[in-house]
Amino acid sequence: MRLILHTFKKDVRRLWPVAVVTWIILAVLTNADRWRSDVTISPMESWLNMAVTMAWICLTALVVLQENLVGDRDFWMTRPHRWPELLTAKLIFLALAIHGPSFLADVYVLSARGFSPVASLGDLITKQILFFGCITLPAIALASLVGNFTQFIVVVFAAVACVAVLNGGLAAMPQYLRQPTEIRHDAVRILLAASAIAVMLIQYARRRAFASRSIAAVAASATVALSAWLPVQAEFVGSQTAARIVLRTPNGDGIDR
Amino acid sequence: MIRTEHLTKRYRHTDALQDLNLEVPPGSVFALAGPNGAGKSTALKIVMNLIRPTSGHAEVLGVDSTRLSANEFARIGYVSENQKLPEWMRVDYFLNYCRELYPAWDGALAEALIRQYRLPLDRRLRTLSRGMKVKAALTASLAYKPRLIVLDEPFSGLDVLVREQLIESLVDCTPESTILLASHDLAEIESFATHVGYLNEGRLEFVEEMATLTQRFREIEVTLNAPLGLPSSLPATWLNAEESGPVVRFTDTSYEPNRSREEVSRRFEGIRNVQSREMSFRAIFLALAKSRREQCA
Repeated sequence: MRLILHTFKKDVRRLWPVAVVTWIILAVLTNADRWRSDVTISPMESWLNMAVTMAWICLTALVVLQENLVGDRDFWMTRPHRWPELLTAKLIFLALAIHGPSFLADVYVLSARGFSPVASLGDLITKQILFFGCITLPAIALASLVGNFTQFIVVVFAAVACVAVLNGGLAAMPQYLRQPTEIRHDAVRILLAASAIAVMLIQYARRRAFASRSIAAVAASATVALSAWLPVQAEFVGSQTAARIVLRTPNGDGIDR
Repeated sequence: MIRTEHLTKRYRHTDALQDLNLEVPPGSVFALAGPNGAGKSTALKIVMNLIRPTSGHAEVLGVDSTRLSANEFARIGYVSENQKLPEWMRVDYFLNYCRELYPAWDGALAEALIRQYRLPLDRRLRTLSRGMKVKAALTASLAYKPRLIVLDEPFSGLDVLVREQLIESLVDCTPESTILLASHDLAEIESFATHVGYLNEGRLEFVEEMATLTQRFREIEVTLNAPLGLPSSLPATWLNAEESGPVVRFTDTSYEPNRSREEVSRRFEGIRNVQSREMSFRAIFLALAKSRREQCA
């Protein structure tokens, strides 16, 4: 525990200005969200949403890259760090710098608009878990595979470009093939989170960059394949099955459609 | 303390290290010498688990190097010429940060080293000269009195005075430690190594105690009555034989006063004088390198 706090305090000392920048963007976004009268978000809010997400991704990369997991020249690699302590310190930092403020911002918007945060606690926590699985975890995994922050940014932009192509660039494909559905999104989320956990654990425990990069490459290819070419029939069947599961109550007397 | 068995590292088409068998005895100052690109740093990086061997294995403090954990690293000090330090840290914060990692940190020793090296505690590492960075890294690696110190060309590029100061403090502060040092600086090795291993193109050419090495190498100068040329065959232990008029010079790699004199008498006729001179490690190294070049040619 002592070394977890030691590493955490070191990261805070190094990265607090970046964390403050993310909090400022989040505060502006939260304020805009609180006073928005329409369900549709404004262009400025769209940009702020993107900016805060990018800022969080960058902060995640920076905290991981403080103890770079790739290469053979970093000072920390020959020092007595235990990987579970190191990883825990990073996760605590991310929880306090990113997920905590994000959660508090949601609570504030709900309260300001007259909803009870306690009543929505489950949804608020689910949002953070989804956010952690789909954004924070992949960002940790990616940062654990690159040698420096520049490489990280290049890969992130390549990934964003890839997503943009998949969403809009494949205009020649029939519309139904590109239609987002829950089952497809869930499959992608699960795949992303699982592969990110695998990469993160391998890198922190063993620093096997080649094996981890292979896993990441396979996961990225599978994600693209799932996003673009999951057969609509499979989605339909999957959606029906999921609906049955959702509509059944725990004692089994729910509506089965 | 350190043992390697058939250690090999291959990068695509290059063999950086080939079948390295090495044993570093406890308490020794073991210098791994050799020209640039000989595989010294590769060997040390494998020993420190910074890279993995292609085959073979290394054992450090009784543990396979690929399994080195925090327990072992708490007893090992490592300083390398191209190590990436956390340059944003101030020197005082850097040392305090390291102190927390080592239960055996000796505050008094750290203070003494800070004074001896005149470390500027209020400056960031990135603003320090290379010499000062090495001093800071050494302070952070000696203050917990490690059992094993691994140094990868730590003093290259430093001026002679700084180098001497660092070597002196290294020997003084850690009298019971084992030191493994990679260096191509022969003067540096000669000044404090007890054992030497010579690596060339990834292969270990020899391993020997410094004392016996300097005992068995001699530069022999034979003065003849008249120039007779070199004999057609010379012992394999005589290197770089050359003649200049009536004088023949060579390096005897297995010198023993009586036996060597007899051998010279048997090979040459009309000997007027035979002189044998002790060789510095630098001269031995150069003789070996020259001999290799001639063999290759």
